[in-house]
Amino acid sequence: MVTPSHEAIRIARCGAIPATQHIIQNADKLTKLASYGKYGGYFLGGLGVAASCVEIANTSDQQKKNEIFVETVASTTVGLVGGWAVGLFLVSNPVGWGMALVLATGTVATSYILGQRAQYVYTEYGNKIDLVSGAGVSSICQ
Amino acid sequence: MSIEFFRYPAYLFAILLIVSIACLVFIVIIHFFVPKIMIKTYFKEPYFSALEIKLFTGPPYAYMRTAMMMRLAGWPDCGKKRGIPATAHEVCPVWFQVLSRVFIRIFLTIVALFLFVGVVLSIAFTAFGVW
Repeated sequence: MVTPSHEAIRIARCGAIPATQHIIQNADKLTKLASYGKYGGYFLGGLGVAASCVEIANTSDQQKKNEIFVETVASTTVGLVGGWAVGLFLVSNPVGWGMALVLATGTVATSYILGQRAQYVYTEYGNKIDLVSGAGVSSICQ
Repeated sequence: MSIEFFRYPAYLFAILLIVSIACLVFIVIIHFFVPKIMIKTYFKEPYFSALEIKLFTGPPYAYMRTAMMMRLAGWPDCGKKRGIPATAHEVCPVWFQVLSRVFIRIFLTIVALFLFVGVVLSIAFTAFGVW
């Protein structure tokens, strides 16, 4: 009969896989995923604002410039506010991938829709106010 | 009833948008005043996953961690599912607990109102064929 101490000697420790190997590998994967998520956030946020700026620069009609500006500001604001509301929800409800995807998609869709509504509100009721010139956007986005 | 009837709801929508921007400014400011001890004690495993910790640390999503910590400070029971003890709020000062409770209530009211007015305007504009 082999005693535990003998068994311990028989195990080739240098050739064994550490017990924490899978945890470390998964943690690495998650860290990479989180990094991709962060870069995605930077990319999408930056791309949206930059695209709007280019659009404002390429439009000669002042009314159109204001509409693009209002839509960009409103959708960005709603997106950020929605993200904060999701944060409030997440602390009490840890979610899986599916729910996280639903929340992210819902926030993006809401920000897009409300951005468009804000643009229509501006067009219908506030088009006498020149926000682009007032906020100095026209000098930045040339 | 004409589209003119919705002029004031439209103004309310614009005001709520401006107030939402003000809320975001406040969130950015309060982000730097979230007690470090609270983050160190509770924003870690096993309460949060490794992915959540990595994702919500640093820009661009760190402000969502602020929301989590503020809710935890204001409503200590809310972290039950994550295994966060109901005494979590005790590590942060009273002013932060009170501010969290007040701000989150105001924030949710504004968001709910903003969405409601947005939906009302959407229906009205669709009915009048504005888009």
